[in-house]
Amino acid sequence: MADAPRPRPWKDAPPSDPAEARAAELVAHAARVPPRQVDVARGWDGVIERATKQPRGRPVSALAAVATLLLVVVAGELFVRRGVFGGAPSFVAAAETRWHRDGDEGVVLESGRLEVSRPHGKVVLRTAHVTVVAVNARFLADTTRAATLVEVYEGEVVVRREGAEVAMVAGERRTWPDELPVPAALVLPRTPPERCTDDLGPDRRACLWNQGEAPGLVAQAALFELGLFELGEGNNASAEAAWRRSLDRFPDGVLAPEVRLSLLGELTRARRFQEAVQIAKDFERLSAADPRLAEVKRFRAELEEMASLGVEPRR
Amino acid sequence: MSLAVTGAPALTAEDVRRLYVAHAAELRLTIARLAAPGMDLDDVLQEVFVVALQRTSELARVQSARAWLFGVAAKLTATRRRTFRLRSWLGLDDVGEPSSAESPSRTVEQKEASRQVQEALASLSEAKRQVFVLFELQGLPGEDIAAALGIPLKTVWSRLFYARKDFQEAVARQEKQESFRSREGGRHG
Repeated sequence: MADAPRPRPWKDAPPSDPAEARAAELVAHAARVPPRQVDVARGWDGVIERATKQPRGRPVSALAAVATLLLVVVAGELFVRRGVFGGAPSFVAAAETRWHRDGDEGVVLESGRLEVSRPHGKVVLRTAHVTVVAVNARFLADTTRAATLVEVYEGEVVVRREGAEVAMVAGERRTWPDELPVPAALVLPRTPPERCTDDLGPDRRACLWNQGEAPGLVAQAALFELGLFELGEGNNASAEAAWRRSLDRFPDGVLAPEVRLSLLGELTRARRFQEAVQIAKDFERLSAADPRLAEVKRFRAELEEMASLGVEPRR
Repeated sequence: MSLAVTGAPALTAEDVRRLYVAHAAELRLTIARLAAPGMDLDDVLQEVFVVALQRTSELARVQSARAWLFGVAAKLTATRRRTFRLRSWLGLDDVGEPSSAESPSRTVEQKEASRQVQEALASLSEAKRQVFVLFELQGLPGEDIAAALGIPLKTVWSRLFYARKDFQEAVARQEKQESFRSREGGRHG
């Protein structure tokens, strides 16, 4: 068989033998039959319900059937007395998720991802950052130390945080908090270079760019200051360009740690957490003796958590 | 070729739901083609996705999620089929009305072809039926079938060869019987 030509489906390469061709013709007709559409919402609810239950036992004898019936009757009676007609909520947790139930309606999510579904009833989910109240809804909560992401798949939920409420409908996805304050220890004081002073007015930018092409420390100082100047003018992209230029030219320069921290701050404010993580890693690798190293490491862990939640960059 | 690749994080329940939306209908049709008449297609379909939810890490690493789902569907259907007749006879499973997995918009020609194909498939062994359905009716490449069923590629081709032969003979038998019946009907009518 190894050297034989690779078989092709009958419908693509009809055989020449009449008997085989007749079989192939039937197959070709049947292969073109479109499938009947399935009721996706109902079918998926069934999957989730089944996934959250233990495997069903199969009746093996009349005695087992009677015992099962008795159990059903007793369980039904208990449900009727407790008024639980809405159907129990179902939960699908990702690996290593830490969560626990809190009463009939409550659930506490400490860390990780949890999909919650209750088509006919209320669920209240709490994390360190928000409280999610869902009625007849299905949603995902993903929480880390830094933030909680909520994504609504079906229905509507209300998210409460610090006294404020936000309603979310199916298809919406948000994170609380969606910003990360830069630690004070990593915020730099402004130090204008000796040349290209403020009194140059509009020519200051050109002066700084020119000095930025010079060799050594003069250029490092100019590019660093140019970034701060552009930031002050509201030109964030130009500020980033100046700092990246500085890091390209002087990755180990004297001012490289300051430039990296400035860039780290701006990327964080822009919610570009993934890029901020990379800058923090560069800082840790290239400025291992810097006294701010521990703070940068701690902050990077928070940035990584935010990055893992897929928060949208600020537009 | 193996379906497996490495380094992918586990899928989420939402990812699996998207797979359900994309493939549930064609999977149900495939289950129908592999199943015994009267088997609960929706039950098997649900179980396929319960397995998917339980094995999100494995599913994230496969090259073709669609082929992986077909493989699970084929194996589950085979397991169910083995016990279905005995359980039905013992009254442990309800034999439901044959529920069609095909679109109501099929033509008369397609409907008749499906009936004949289904009858001919019933005469194939489980192993040959799986390969035949996945290759000829679902259009899965041989490599995907090999990975989905956990068999070597050469085995796929050899099963296909014999499945085609058996299928062709079954069709010939059917047509001979139908021609005989119509002749008999004409003589008595």
